[in-house]
Order: sequence, then structure tokens, then C-alpha cells
Amino acid sequence: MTALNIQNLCKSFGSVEVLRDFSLDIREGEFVSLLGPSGCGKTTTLRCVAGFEFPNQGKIVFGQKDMTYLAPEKRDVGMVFQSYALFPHLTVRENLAFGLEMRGIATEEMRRRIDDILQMVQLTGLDDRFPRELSGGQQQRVALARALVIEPSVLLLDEPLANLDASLRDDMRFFIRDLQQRVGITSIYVTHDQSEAIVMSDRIVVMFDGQIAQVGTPREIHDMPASRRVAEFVGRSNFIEGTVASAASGGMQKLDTPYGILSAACTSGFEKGSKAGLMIRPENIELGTGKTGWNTLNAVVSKAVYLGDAINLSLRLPDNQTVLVDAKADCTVKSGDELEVSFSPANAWLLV
Amino acid sequence: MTVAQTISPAQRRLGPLVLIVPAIALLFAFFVLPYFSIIVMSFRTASASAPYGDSYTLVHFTTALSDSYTMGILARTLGLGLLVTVITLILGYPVAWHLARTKSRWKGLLYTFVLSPLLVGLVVRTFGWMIILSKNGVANQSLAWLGLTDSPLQLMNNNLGVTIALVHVFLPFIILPLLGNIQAINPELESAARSLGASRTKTFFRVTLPLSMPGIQAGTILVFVLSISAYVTPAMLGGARAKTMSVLVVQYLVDNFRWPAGAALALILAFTAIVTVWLYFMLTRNMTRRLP
Repeated sequence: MTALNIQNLCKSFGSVEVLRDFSLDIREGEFVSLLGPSGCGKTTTLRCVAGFEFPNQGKIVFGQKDMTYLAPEKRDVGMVFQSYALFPHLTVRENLAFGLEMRGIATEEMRRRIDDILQMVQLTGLDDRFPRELSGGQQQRVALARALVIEPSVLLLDEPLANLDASLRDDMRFFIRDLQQRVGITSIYVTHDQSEAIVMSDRIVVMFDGQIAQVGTPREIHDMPASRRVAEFVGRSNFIEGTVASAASGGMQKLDTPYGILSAACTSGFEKGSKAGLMIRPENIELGTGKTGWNTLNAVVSKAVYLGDAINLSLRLPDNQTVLVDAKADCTVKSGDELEVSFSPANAWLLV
Repeated sequence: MTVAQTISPAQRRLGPLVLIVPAIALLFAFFVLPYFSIIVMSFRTASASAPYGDSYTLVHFTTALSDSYTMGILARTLGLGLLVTVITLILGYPVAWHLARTKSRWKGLLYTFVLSPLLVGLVVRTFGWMIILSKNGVANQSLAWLGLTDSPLQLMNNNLGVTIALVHVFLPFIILPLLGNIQAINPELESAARSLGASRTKTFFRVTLPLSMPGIQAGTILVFVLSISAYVTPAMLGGARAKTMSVLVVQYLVDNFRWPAGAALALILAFTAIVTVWLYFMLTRNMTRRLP
């Protein structure tokens, strides 16, 4: 197991700066996702770690070894590509043997390791097939096996699920995460899908415009986003604007809004009288008055969309601002109804 | 719907056939018939007053096949084809690879360079080479001026001149099939090989080259067939010492008026070419069998 240090990485293509002062420490065996919209620099970061790009500045260290300018074949990384990149002229077994041959592993050992990994990814018996004879999910697992069979010090995954259909994608998330934990390999996972990152990661790095916007556990990223941009990228959110009414204890702050005084959790640094926005996720808003101390809003239902397992409500507040609420599927609210909704201050989060 | 119902199955089957009739007619009139007439002519006796005599004979084939001069020219023609093919492959592959992978804004210009030999007429292009390669030509004068040679080199009226000019004109014929082939190879395959521990060289020989076999096969066959059947270039640059089969055939037909014997030579060349290409195809089949 290897820890991975990325220090002050900078990368430009011509005059375009794609990565700015990117630093990250990854622990041994940790699964870290780089999450961000396309063009945010997450793939460039991964390619620098893999050795396909060299940074203009900064350092990449595996354990104690500086890898920054080493050729990819000397780095000992396993990489899974978005297109799987399986060699079409080689069978599954030959694909898996490729990396082992390059390392000069003996035939007997090679067979044992390939058999083991095939069993691990549940592809035993398919060794003589060509990649084109396999389904997308199977190809994905061969790609994963090929990256893992060389027992690399770091596993890199570049949007590996982007080409799979939705139901398979959900299964593969758990499959990859499970396998990663069993092998215990330090992994970097690049994705633009926030739910993928939340489900799979130990920690998430949210990136915008070549810079880190926030690093944290999935729960921290989701419940305590560092900025509105992170909040909006990581999930659906409502913002209620107001001015900070008073300092309060326990990381709670009161906000003076057009709908009354609302309280929300926050980090320190909000001064009385300053402008702020209260973020509340649709799934944290309940119909009714709620418990004591909860924030309540009066609203009119403008749209109710039945999803089978839930109902998405669009509510209109008195000044026409829209608030999204996820209600239970059995609720009978319909468009035009007046109602009261509430949410716990612990679920509300104050942002600049 | 109603329109579809009024067309009978027979009509539907005939439809496509009707569309290819013009092409078939054209092929028949300008390819099958002339070839057939050449085949017939090669078995006719010679005649002084007409293109060929009335009776049939095998003598043109037996004479040609037992004549060491003719067979020498056939061997040289095949050797020339092989040489031109190998050189174009070695020169063309890196160009094709670069063109397929480059993101340069000069890509369009590079394409034009690659196609440039085909943008100039055959005779004009060959004259150009004569100007460059002759005794007092550009090449020899430059070499002398640089002090590299004492007396002019023999650059034309031999195999060298023909090879140079043929390589020049046939380069696009190997680059274009290779280019299409290499473009279709996912660049991530090369990255994957590198990350699995293969050096650049190993990646090329284990991944890129095997996957470009179809392009190599198509391009080399094209260049080989075109080289051995080329006429203008060997006729103008080859002189008497580097005569090829097609030059000999034209000499028989036009200069000596020996139509049946010339037809037999043409058929010998065509047959040899077909057998060579078939053998090559069989030999390279294993290399492409595993590809999708």
C-alpha cells in the first residue's frame, strides 16, 4: 500500500492554464474521487499522476519516491480508461497477461495470478473470448482486472462507468468499491457524476476551473459545502437569502429573511448584518409544522411531479421564489394547495 | 403504406439490379471484353499483314517463358515492385502515424504535401525527375558543388532513378490506407500499454503495429501492383538498362507490331502479379485474423 502526495501541481497547455496549485495527500488504501464539470482539470490531474502529462510545476510522490517526471511504464500504476482500452487483438487472458509479461513474471505465476483475478471479477471461463465478444459490463471488469493484476501501487480510474447504461452503472459502483476495499489499493477516481463520487469515495475533491474548491468526506461535501457552486454541483439545493441577525452559540446563526427569522448551521466568520444565503436540500424539507425549533415556511404548491417512489414538489413562496421539496409518494398534495413546510436548522447551511 | 403494397416482391428484388446495370455494362465493355480479346490474341499465330494470324498456338508463351532475357525483365519488375513497396512502407508509416495522431493546425497542409505527387500530371512529374536526376541535373550539380562527388553519378537510366520516382508517386497510396487505419485505433490503447509497463517501442510492436496490419496489407498490395504495372516512369527514367515488363510489352505491341507475343507477355505479368498478391494475402492472413 502506498500513500500518494501531490504538491502544488500546475499545468498549462499553451496559454490555457488547466491546473493551478493543486495539492492533495492521499492516505494508504484511500479511495479519493476528483469531482467536477468537464474542463475542471480532474482528468489532467489523473494523467499527470499516470505519467501521460508532465506538470509545469509541482511534485508527485508515491510513498517516498518522486514520480513527477517518470515515464508511465516506470510508475507502477494501474489505470482504467473510459473507453476500457482493451486490446482488441488479444483475448481476455492475453489482455491480462500483457502487464505481467512486461514485468517478466514466470508463466506459472502468471497463470495463477490471472486465474485469481478472473475469479475476483467474476469472469472465470471467459478467458478465451475477445473483448468484442463481451458485454459492456464484462469489458469493464476485464479492464479493472487488467489494471489490478499487475498489483500496482496506485489505481487510477478515468470515468470508468460513463459508457455503461444506468442500471449496470449502479451495480458497478458497488462492485468497484468492494473490490478496491478488498485489495486495499490507494485509488483516484475521476468523475463528473456527484452521486457516483458520494457512494464510492472515502473523500471527494471538488474541482472548478483547475482549482480545488473543497476536499472532504461525502457527507461534508454534501451537507456542508464550501460554496454555493459546490452546493449546486453536488446536489439539488434551495437558497433563501437574508441578512445575519445575530451571533448564536453552537455553530448556529439566525438569518433575517423575508419569510421570518430562520436559523441554520454554519462555520464561523459570519458577522451580524452581513448578507448570507441559507441552503436547504429538497430531501430535508418536510410537509407540516415539524418539531419545535424548526424553521417553517408558508407556500403554495405550483407543481407536483409523481416519480413512483417520491413526489417532487415545486413550491412558491409569498414573493414568488421557488422552493423544491421531495415528498413521500403517498402524499396527496396537488397543484394550488396552500401548505406549511419545515426543516431542521441542523440541515440548513449558511453560505456567503 | 399503400405505395409499398403495390410493389411486388419480385419487383423489389429487381430494383437494386436495375441500378447496377450501367456499371456492369461499362465493366463488361471496357474491362471484360478487352481482357478476353487479349487472352484470345495471345494464343493466335503471328501475321505480317494483320494484327494476328488465323490459327492457334502456344508458341508465344513457351518462347517467353524459356527466354532468359524476358524472364530477367520479369524478375527485375517483381524485384522493383518489392523494393518500392518496402521503401514506401518504411517512409510512409511514420507519416501516416503522425498525420493520424497530430492535433497541429498544419494538418491540412500536411495532407496537401502527402497528396502532392498526385496533383501533378504523370509526364510532367517524370520530366521533373529527369531534370533533377540527369547527368547535368540538379542533384549531380548540387553534389559536385558541395564537393561530395568528383564525377556525375548515374542517377537515371537505371533501377535507382525508377525506384526514386516510383516511391515518390506511390507514397500517397500507402499513406492514405494506413492513415485511415491508424486513425481508427483508439489512442487510449497506446496509453493503456504504457501504463501496463510497455516502453514506447514495445507498445508499437505489441499494440500499434498488429492493429495497423489491415492498412499495411491494403497499402502494400496497392503499391506493389501499381509499381509492377507502371509504364511511363520506367519508360522515361529506366532507359535500356532498367526495362520493365510493361515497357517490354509496349515495345512488342507498338515498335515491333508483335501483338500476340505482346499479349502473352502482358498475361504472364498479370498472372504473376495475381499469384504474388494471393501468396502475400495468404501469408499475412494470420496477422489480421484476430482483428475485428
